[in-house]
Amino acid sequence: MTGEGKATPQGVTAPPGKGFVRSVQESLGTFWRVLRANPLSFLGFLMVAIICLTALIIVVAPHLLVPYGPQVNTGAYSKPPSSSHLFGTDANGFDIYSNVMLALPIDLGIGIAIAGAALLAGGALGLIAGFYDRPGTVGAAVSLTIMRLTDIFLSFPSLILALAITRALGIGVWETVLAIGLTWWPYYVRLVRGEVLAIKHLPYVTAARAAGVRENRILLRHVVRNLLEPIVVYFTLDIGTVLVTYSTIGFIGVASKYPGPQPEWGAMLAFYQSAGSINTYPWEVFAPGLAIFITVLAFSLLGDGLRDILDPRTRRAFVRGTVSHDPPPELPPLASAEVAGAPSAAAGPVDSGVPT
Amino acid sequence: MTEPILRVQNLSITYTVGAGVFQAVSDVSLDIYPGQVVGIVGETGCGKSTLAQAIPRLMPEPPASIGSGKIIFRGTDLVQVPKRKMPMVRGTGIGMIFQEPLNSLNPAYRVFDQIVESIQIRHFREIGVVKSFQGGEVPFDYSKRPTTKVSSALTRSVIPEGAAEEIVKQRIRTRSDYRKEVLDYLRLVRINDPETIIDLYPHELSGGMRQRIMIAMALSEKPSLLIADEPTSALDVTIQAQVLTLMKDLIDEVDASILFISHDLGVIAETADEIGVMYAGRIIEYGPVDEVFRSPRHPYTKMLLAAAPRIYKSDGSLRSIPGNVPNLSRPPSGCRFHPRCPLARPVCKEKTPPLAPVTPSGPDTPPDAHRSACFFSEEVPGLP
Repeated sequence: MTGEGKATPQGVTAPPGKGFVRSVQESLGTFWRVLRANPLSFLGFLMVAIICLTALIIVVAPHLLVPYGPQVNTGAYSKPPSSSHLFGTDANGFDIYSNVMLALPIDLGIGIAIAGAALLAGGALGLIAGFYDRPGTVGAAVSLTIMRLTDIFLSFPSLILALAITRALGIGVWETVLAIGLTWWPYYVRLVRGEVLAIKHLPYVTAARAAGVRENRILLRHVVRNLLEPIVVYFTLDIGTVLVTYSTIGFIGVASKYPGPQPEWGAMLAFYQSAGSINTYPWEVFAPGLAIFITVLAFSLLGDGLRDILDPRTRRAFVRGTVSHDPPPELPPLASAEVAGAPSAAAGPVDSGVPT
Repeated sequence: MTEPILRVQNLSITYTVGAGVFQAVSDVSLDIYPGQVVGIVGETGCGKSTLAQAIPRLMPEPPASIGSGKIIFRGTDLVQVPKRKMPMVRGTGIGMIFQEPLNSLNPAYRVFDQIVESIQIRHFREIGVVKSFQGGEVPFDYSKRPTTKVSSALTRSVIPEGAAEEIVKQRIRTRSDYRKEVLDYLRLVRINDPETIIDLYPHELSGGMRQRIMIAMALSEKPSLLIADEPTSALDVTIQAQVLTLMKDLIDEVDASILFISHDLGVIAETADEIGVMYAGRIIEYGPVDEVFRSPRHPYTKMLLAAAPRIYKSDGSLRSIPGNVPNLSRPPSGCRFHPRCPLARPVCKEKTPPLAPVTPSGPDTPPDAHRSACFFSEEVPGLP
């Protein structure tokens, strides 16, 4: 076992101390293997990648993908999908495909931004509330305050609360973002706090404490690493949920105006289902609905894949090329190890062939 | 006589749960000298694990609280140390091995990352990057600690003998340095093929392997006191024997005192020099392990030994101690064993017997070594 980078029986290249580059390579390799072993997550990853790339292109160079502006009369009124108008046109002569595509960056951005802000704010509060809750300390008081505040927010239906805040702030994209953001963080507080409470009483946390590891480091290195998996998965799935919620508020008509300079899927759905007849012009609602569906589905599939990647157990199983567990490496009985290793155990390390 | 490395004096610990106050440990005194292995036996709920966790102050406070007493570790009373300073005392001072090898390793990290964390902590203290503990009369100086056989062999490659302190301080260890040291410790706990094991995750290891990794973790801190809280209880009998053999070998190699907690009399008999028998939060008998096993001087010890299953005894049923373990929120007055004791007299109900020396059974036992907390310890050998 002295060869540099020699493959171990597990099929994993042993990193012989090349450090960061090798560990990144290994992570990417693992990532790729998990995706390959799991076609649905691979599909999800691919879809999310394409969606993000598309959104980027639309922001940077819209003319590559979008033939018409948001409020351009194409001269074709209420035409069904055709080669010149992929998703047809509406009664105003607007190209629906162009409007759906132009809505992609804002909808995607809103989903990621709201879920991300909720993850950071709610996650941080949840960590504090879960970890520093020893009775009789300042932390306990802070923790109690956080949790009761969370309970107050959770006692309202989030959609209704978001609607109410939007109405109070005024109609607009940013007002809606703020409103949803304000209602979204408590779920993360609950989730993170629950995980922290479960993890912090596990023996390995006590073992780390016994080894002289400081509390803050225990929180960051031992607790956070182990709740990463459920949180990241939840976050990914949540992007879809935020999107649906935003679209719902858009559908009710308080988020953004359609037709307008900045189209949005929910507002498009609202406009077309009220303006036209779904029976006569079904393509009008089909396109924004499909866009929401595909985006949410992509993030859901990705979430499942991430779960497999983040859990060392399933990760290794995938890396070995099979989902079932190989038995742990067989150990020779201690007696033989003693005979061979015991006398030289103290002196051996210095001169034995350790790879460098 | 050398100074004891750990001196527990009249330690009492209570748990406050709801309205009830449980006296988990009452008035326990214990001395551990350098190189000594002290075993603590007792049945479930007698306070032995609380005692083990209380020494490095690992038990949750609250609900637990130290009512009175001192835990003097290398000249410092740990009871007086502020909680936020305790990480400095743990690790390099007191190492722990836990009962559950399954959950005592962080599932998210490879073996290397598990062990290197404690090595790093020790390293930072040795070179003075992290402040070491300065409380108490005798300051902790990690760099001037006496090196042990194993540790001197291990550190020689990293810090040359007689190197100027500045050079040692400037010496920055790379990942491969740490890797070498982790491999050394894996070899120390007799792990075959450490090059492979070091990159595995805990779930890929068997129970015995995990417990050895735990032992390697505890040893890599180079503690002067190792507390083993039921290290073999969760393992299969065969693995148990392997781990015990390993620990016995390590006792000779690693110059640490060991406090060995177990409910298994056989395990204690195998490993310990001195044994303390705990019952309902008190140490009721203490002495050299051979002496206590040969001629127990407390009725509880006697009955506990008689209740242990024996492989050569084929006739009759197993003996048991009548009655139940007392509820520690309302312990019996006087001697806590009196409701179940065949020797109980009225005085046992009123007064708590002190842990007093008994006359040794043989000439080779020192006069004060064997102590028993029973008024009628002279009558115990006559019990059936």
